[in-house]
Amino acid sequence: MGDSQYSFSLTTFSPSGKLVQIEHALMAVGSGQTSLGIKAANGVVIATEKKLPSVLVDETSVKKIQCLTENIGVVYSGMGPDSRVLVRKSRKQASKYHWLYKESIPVTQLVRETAAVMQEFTQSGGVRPFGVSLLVAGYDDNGPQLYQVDPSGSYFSWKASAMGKNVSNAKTFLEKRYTDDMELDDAVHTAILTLKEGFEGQISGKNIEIGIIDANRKFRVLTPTEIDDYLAEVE
Amino acid sequence: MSIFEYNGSAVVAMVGKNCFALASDRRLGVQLQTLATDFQKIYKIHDKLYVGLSGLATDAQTLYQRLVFRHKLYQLREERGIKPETFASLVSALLYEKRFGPYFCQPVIAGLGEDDKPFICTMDSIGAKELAKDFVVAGTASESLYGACESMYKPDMEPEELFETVSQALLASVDRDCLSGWGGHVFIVTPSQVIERTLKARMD
Amino acid sequence: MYKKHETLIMPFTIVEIQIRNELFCKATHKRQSNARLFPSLRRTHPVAEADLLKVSMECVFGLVGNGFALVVADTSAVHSILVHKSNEDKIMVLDSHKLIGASGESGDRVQFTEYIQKNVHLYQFRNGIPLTTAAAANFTRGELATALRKSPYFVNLLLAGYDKEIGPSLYYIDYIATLHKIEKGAFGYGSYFSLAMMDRHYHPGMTVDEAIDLVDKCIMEIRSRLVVAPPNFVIKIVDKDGAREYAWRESVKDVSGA
Repeated sequence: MGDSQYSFSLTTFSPSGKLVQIEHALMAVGSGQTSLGIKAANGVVIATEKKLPSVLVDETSVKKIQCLTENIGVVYSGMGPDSRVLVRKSRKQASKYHWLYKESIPVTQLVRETAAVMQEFTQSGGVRPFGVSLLVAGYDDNGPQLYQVDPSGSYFSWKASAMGKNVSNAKTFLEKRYTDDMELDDAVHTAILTLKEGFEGQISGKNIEIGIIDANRKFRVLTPTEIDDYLAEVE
Repeated sequence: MSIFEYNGSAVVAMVGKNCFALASDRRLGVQLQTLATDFQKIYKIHDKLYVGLSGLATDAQTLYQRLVFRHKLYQLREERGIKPETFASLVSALLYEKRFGPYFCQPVIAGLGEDDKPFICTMDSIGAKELAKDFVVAGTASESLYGACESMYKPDMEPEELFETVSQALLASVDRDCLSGWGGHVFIVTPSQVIERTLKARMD
Repeated sequence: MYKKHETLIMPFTIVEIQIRNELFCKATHKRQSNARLFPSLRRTHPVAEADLLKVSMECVFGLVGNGFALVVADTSAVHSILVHKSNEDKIMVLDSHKLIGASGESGDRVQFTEYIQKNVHLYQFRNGIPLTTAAAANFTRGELATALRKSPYFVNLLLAGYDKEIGPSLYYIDYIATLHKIEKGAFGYGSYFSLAMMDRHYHPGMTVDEAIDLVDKCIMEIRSRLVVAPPNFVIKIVDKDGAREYAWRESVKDVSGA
């Protein structure tokens, strides 16, 4: 393994010009549970599957979609604990911004700050990159926005995107279903259908999570009952 | 004598109809000795946002340099001009940062915000904001400025009338204050243009 | 606020010291709180203790003429009631086209102006071009301003320079780092007389002869009206040909023979 000799430091280039740790991190994301996001005309939806290791786990205690600010939410694919570090740092950044300007942080700014943290962990000593990719959904003066941030610290704005185990299938599905004039409700339906495509077992309000934000600029995670209602509409 | 009165200053901002005026005197002194009569106290942040800095001149200069720096960073990062309200919060934060060794300045912030709505505000040297709908004053002539503005101000003035009012208020006030005066500097800012004029005044 | 119709006598030194104490309250914060507990420790900031009379007795002034700027300074090194030296040069040649006239605490004056001079030179070595006068003035102000709330330098400066594109210029920088571009300016007790003389006789675009004439008027006024007038002055000039000593105005030979 030519590359692995260069793994003595987690942030040293291999001769082929790769940072193998970042590739490994992307592998961790790729084998994580599927998440996706869709930007609609009047809002954004993010969704993820919530597969639990055992039926004995209390599913209400697992929250994969979280708020960063009132108007920005995030979901991850990959390592749960790593995501919590990023969520904590992002929330701190958002409140610092609010403290300084008495105004809520624009989505682009928060995404950039978060991406900067992730980049720093690809170049610092004694640390490893984050084993997560994030989908950030927000609504601000620039309208609804959906961003994906990767372990390398690169970030992109998407109309719709997916990540995790079923990336390619989900993305193909989204490419087929996405339209520019989609309303938020349609987007939620599409999100559910996309998740359903690669879902092993019976989908329900308890094993997926959905977060939405519309023009009222309040990000909200749907309750299992609300999800069940949407599921009923889809069938 | 308070350190705020070391150099002498008079700054006033007034709101008109879809416009605002920001005016100051032009004296730079060291206590009762006048050093210069062409000292700048009003600074431009961007086309629709101005700040007047009264108080200790050295701190006004330092503060201005820091504000310009922070605004440039903001513009590069966010690719937009800063809103007056947001800028006021920034100034407030910068001032409060130095709570136990303050800049001896009382800033006056005036700008046109969203939909060109005029915004004026002042704050003390540790960043406590004071918002007003009509006018705000600062500096060694602030007491007489309050009186002058109180009696001359009326709502919804057009730019030219606003210029006349703010100028008369300024000139009347600095004549009762030894530490400010020696000319005036007036900015009238409307959505489409900025009028900048210097005033001749009593030079004693 | 001081009203124009009130007659007012300002207790000069006391006011100065109060202001400085306020400015340096941060630097002295620790000591002051100790002083509250132990009255015997009560002291003011070292700079606030500086003998203001000595400082204010100095006379430094300058003006801008047609194609040149000049700076004049007294040459007395005084401590308390003693004159240690009467040929102390207080005007430094910063670089080929810059002069800096300084007054204030003598140690600070020498240390600070030298520090500025070395940094101006360093810039030139690194970049191959000299700083403009405006840049040097702003640099100097920056250094004074950062020092102000740490360990302040007690120096008042007049910075004169000549730039090819801009011509001559003169900058006023006082010890609390107020920067202003001026045509004529002065520091110290001499300023009460020299500023008045310059207000009366200065006009833009003066020739060197006219300016020197005015300088002599100022010096004469200081010598005849100021109790503690210094005996000797040095005049330096900067124009397109560079910065140089122009003349001395001596009424006594130096006592130390240095």
